[in-house]
Amino acid sequence: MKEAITALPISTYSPYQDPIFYGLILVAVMLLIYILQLQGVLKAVANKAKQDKKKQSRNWPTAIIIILISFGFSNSASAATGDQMLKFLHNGFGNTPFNALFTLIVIELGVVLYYNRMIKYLTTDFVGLKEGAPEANPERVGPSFWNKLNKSVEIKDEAAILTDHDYDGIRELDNALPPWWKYGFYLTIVWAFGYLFYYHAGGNGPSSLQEYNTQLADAEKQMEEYRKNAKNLVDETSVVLLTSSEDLKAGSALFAANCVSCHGASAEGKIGPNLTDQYWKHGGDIKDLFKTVKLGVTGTGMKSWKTDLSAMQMAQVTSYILSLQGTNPANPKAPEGPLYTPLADSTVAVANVLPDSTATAKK
Amino acid sequence: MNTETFYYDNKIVKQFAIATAMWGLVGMLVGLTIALQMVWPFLNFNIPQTTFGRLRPLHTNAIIFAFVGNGIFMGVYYSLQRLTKARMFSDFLSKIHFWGWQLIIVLAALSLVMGYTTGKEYAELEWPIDILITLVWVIFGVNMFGTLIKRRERHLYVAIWFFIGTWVTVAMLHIVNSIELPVSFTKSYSYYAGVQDALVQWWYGHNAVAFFLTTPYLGLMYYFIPKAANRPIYSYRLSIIHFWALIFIYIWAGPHHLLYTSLPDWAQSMGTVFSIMLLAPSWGGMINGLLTLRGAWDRVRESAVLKFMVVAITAYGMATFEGPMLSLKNVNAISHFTDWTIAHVHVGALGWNGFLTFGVLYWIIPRMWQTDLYSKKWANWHFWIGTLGILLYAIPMYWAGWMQSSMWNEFTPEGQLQYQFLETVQTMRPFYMARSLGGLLYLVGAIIMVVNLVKTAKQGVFLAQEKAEAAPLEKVRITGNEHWHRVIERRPLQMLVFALVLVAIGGVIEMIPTFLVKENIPTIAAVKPYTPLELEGRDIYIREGCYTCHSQMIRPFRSETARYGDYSKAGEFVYDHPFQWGSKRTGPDLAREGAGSLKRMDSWHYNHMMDPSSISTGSIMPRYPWLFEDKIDFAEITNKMKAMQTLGVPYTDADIAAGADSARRQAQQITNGLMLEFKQNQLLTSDEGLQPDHEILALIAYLQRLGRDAAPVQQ
Repeated sequence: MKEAITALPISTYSPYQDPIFYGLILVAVMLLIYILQLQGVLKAVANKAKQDKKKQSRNWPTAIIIILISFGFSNSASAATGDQMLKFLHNGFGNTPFNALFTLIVIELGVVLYYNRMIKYLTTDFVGLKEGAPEANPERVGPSFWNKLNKSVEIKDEAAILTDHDYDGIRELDNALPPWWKYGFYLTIVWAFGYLFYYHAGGNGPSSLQEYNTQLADAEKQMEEYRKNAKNLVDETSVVLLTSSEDLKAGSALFAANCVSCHGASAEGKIGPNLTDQYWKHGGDIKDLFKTVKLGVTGTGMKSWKTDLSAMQMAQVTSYILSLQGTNPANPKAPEGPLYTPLADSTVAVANVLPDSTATAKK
Repeated sequence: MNTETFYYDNKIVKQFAIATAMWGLVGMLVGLTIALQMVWPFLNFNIPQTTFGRLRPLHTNAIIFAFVGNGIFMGVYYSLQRLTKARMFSDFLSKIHFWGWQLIIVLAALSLVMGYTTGKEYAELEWPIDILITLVWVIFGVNMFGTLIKRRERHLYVAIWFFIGTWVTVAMLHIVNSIELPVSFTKSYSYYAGVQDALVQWWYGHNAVAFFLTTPYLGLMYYFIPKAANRPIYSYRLSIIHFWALIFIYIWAGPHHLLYTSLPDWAQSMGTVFSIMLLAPSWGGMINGLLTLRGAWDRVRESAVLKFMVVAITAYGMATFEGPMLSLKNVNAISHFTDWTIAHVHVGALGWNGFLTFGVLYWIIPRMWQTDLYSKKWANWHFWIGTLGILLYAIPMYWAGWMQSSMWNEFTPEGQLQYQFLETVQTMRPFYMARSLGGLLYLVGAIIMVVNLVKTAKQGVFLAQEKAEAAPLEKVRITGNEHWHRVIERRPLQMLVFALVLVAIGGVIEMIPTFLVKENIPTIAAVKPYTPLELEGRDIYIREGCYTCHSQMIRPFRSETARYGDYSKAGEFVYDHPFQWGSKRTGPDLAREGAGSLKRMDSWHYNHMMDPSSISTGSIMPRYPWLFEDKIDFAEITNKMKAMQTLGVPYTDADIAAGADSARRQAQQITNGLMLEFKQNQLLTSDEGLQPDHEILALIAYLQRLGRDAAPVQQ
């Protein structure tokens, strides 16, 4: 199985520029109009049916509740998850507005089908629908579609295939096996042998681990391709302090999402150290911080974030952290580590960073 | 030919019917409770007995064995008497069967909430209850076969074939999967370990679905559909082929629960191909049921009984189509560990089992009480509310499953995982809410039914002994032309043997090589047995049902190895009695919780178990405050190690003799470390009252051990 890897960069793709999106909206609106019209027809038909008194009363409230709730659900579900779902891209095409639209259309189609059925139900004159009529009403002349499909004997002729079995009044017909079922069964058996041959007996189907290796190789290739064209790729040797307000804003959001549980909402320190003072256990330069975030610190709670955050994101969050220097939040944790004084040559500070890492994290 | 007069025993049917309805409500209520706990985790009220990990097994066991179990017996005792033209073999055995089964259910409920569990899904009950189940099941079998032997109907109807197949297969599954070594009256260890345990467990688990939730209910369908619709069964030869094909093929399909795990590839493929071959035999039952209604569809509109049954068969058809699709590796890679599986099983449980049970209840209660249903209108309301409940349950769960999987697998172009696990959990909340609403509606429908049935019973007169007449069977030589299958339909015991042979084949072929051929489980030299304290911690992990939300199986996918560390290997689990791979990832995988980049400080675990959301904001994991009060039973550790030694774990006698001391020492070490960390880090959580014998220490020891052997922590 190939993993779905987003090919489209998140920032550049917007469904609101996609013509298909507007096409779908049009479809949804048209369906809605159609539903409203059907509703009118249905009302009229239902009234007539009532007057005719031919039909049994139908559970109208139930039907209406179903429709209301299904609409209500689809709306509330998409509204409630809005935040995460807006971020949610899958294969570049199935993002939230699309999902919501598709759902709406599917539900609308369901309603249309339901209304159609109701109208058909209310307008058909059921000959066989009389109280206490136990036997079926074979009104058709030729074999129906279903009987043809299943090779069933017509109901009116079924005496010919009625066996002499009688169990507590239950009789048994002996219709032929439906051909699609029978041949479908054969097909699955053939498929099973083919599958086993392909994966285990001479075919070259990949094992689970071969699939995995292919997956890794593909991903590596893709990332390499990306790196070729991508800008803003930094690492701990090339990172510089970011100062633009957008970067700091992004850093602040990342901090809130990932760091506050250990370092506190204002970086005052909880399980993890206070980040607003000038005391750093692993160096206080942007490059030191970047490395600490990227690789983590073995034996402490600081994990490696390199599988969670992109290089740019790590640069943003570390820049944000350094922007908090001297903010003096409430309830600060006592200083830990040596006092850090910025040096002209930052490479000295880099040397302070613990050399090992928890990078047993694979890939 | 003289006819005999005899009486059908309706009283036993009535008892099972009441039990079905009552346990159904209980099981659904527990289900609703845990559904709400997934949205509001504080609903466990910090009490161990009401926490998700213990209630979830209670929910599954109550629905499967109490609700559906009693439903099976109700239907069998009603239909078997009438299909054989005989009273049940022994009223006494019927009585023992009924009260024995209810005793099992009560014991199960009590023991599960108290934390007595084997930690194997749908087989959580401890060994004394396992033995009780075996005894009661044998009594059921004797009673059934006794009835078959004194029957007045020469041939067995297809419903009875299914009952026979069910009985013999469930007996086999239960016995083989429950082989365990008792440590005490309330604790045992699975005889099997790791990969082998997983194979046996899912051979059992899958076929519990097949032979407890499917085949007996097909039997009921074959009786109640033609009765309620007053139509002949569509095709006798379809019955024959789909019955034998179904029981033969079903048993092989278990490994499809273990795709992409450490189970050898060949065994996984067996699971896949047999699941695909199962499509037609499963659908055979649906076709025969639905086409029996040919010419009676006008009555389906009128009759609540038939409406319930039609939706039941349709749900069966959908679930048995979806099942094989989920067994394809590429589909399973998406669905496994997500809520998709939850949606899938609930279409089966709510739609097929629930609705068929309701249909049967609506059909037999008025008959046994010789009256009409109290309110057809209420029955119709029940139908619509129930259907809506199923939809509101299933649709959000399918959606949730798909989203979970997509989010877990999402990478940024730079190659980072797009989402933290916690983000995926938070995204699920609205879906879990909608699902709870669906469950609530379904429960409301069931309550309406119970009221309706009680009122029906009140207005009628119960007929305990239903008079019937039939001629006794005479010894005759059957000559002349007859269908070849008629021969076996006269011989219930031979049918039993044939069925047993057929269902044994699949299990034997899949299990024996996995047990005997060494290459199937390559050992890893670095993997050592757990220390005594870790072993104790593992038992706490099992007791609290952590496996109901956390897997311990990293599949070989880029998205999983990036998140959790190297993929899991068969050799890592050789000392795991029982295995704890899990089947659902409501929380993250824990296979390498103590290793690599996932390794956390002891104090992290300490605080996290005390109050998960204090560390992971928005977590839906409940709090476990009792682990900080309850004491480790150090004396018992020696017995546990002895049992493990018997099962082949290489503890020396010296290890065992020093077991308690070693555990105490390790607990003290962890305590010292925690105290130090508390002092250094001014933790929010108070360390007041931390004692070196609190259970939390054993659990921390176990969690810190997970995955460390195969991927040691670099120092």
